[in-house]
Amino acid sequence: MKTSISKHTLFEYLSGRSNPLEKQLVMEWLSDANNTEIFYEWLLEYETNNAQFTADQDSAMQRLLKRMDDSGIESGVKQDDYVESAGIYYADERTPLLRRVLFIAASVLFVVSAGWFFRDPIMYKTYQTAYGQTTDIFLEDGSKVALNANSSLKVPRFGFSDEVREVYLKGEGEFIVSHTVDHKRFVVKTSEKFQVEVLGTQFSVFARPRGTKVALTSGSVRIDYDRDHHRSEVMMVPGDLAVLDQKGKVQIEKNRDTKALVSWKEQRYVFDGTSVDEIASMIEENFGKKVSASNPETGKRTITGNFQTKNADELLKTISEVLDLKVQSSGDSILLNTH
Amino acid sequence: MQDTLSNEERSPVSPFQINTGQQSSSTREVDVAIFIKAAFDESPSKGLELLFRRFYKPLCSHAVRFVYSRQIAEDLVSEVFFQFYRTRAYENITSSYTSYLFRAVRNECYTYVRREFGRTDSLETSGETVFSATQPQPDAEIHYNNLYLKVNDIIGKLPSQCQRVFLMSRFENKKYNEIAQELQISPKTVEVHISKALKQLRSALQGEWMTSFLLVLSSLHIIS
Repeated sequence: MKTSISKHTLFEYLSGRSNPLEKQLVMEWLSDANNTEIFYEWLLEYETNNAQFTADQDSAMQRLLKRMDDSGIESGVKQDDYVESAGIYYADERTPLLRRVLFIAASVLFVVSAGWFFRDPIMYKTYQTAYGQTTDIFLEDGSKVALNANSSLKVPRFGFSDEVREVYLKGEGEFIVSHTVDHKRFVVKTSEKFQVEVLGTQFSVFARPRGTKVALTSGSVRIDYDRDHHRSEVMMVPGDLAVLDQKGKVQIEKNRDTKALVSWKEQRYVFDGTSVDEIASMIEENFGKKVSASNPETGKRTITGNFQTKNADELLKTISEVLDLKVQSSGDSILLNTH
Repeated sequence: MQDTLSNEERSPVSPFQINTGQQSSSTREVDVAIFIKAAFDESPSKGLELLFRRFYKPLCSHAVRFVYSRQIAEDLVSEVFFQFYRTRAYENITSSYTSYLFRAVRNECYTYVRREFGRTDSLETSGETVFSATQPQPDAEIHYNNLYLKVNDIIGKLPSQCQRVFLMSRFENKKYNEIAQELQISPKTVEVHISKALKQLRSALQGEWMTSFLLVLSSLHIIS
């Protein structure tokens, strides 16, 4: 069917006032290549009569003339045999085959190098939790990871490799690893120098700037770490808490209540002789609020108990009531004062 | 949707006219084209100047519907003229100057909007070469129209204060603190409004890039 539309219809369409029926009509009309020239002519008329603003033509012309001079293209002198296409539809029909081949080769090279450059975001999927948010992630092998606030877990996007199941953790997470038939190893990497390797087990990993800790609930894991460029390893048994100390050595603390370390899963906080300073760092890690004690003595005071809360304010309120402190907040930083 | 800055005067054409005025205007157009062509033959810079004087303003007016910034619209249009001159495209032009220039400008605008409001910029850029090299799809005109109408629509639907701040920044080239002073709000709030508007554009235009994005993704998949 040959549609013909009025100039008015097109103008209404261009200004976005047409109804769906008219839109359909214009689209049909436009899809006929014979109408393209008329369309642009009317578009010119439309833009001339309905100018959105008046561009400063003269100074733009001056700039353009200057640019033409600077570019050093001699007007009227034919330099090359071909015309470069300026990303515009009118590629020269005389484009030699070689140029086309080169273009394709360049495109392929570009895409390959882009693929190499972005191999990380392409090859891995990253789960990230915000402050105050926890989430459960189910991996394709049936393993489950509970991710604490302000943490990220990177897993291969296209499935685990044949030999090893490798994931990268920043922050804090609890892993319940399922055993595979072919005894495929499961490795949690927290840095180049520290990794936890398991077969099938339940454990939690804490990897934040403040330190790195691993707590084992059941099964067994091995920690591989790099100490003064020597590869070291420790085996853990259930109830163990491994702490990477400042000197880069892993210390094992026996018979710890490892469940308490993952209480964050239920938005619960278990303190056992925990100092105010430690709680302050924990709040900063999990909720992104900077908490500090007004004097060192306050920071050293400890608290024992079990608190259930979803936000930092509630937790701070409870703590300050117990310790008889005053909470002063300004923006994102909070100060704990004595009365 | 509204034509935020359209002139009071409507086109002088009667609303129900069907193609009748066409005859005279297209002959006029042909005359102008022959004149410009002659100028190009004589001296390309002379021809370009004529072309510029005739098309610069309407092209800018069209470009601004896509990019919502005077400055960027003018820059994109100037770039098209410069490339037209530099690549000597005027020697091989097969269509009318009108359709060539409008197409080129729309193409530039599309690329700009996609780069600016596309979601994954890094992946997008690798698609650019692939995309611009392809021949125009038969529905390119429709696609471009839909794009600018959509942009217009999105901006029309922004909350009024947000829209005002966005237009002041993009359209009047005002600095954040100038806007803040004028509207008596904090510069931080201005920033929030702007980023809100951009976010809105980004999420609403997301579907527009799907075709090119999938193209890139599939090629990457083969490699990896």
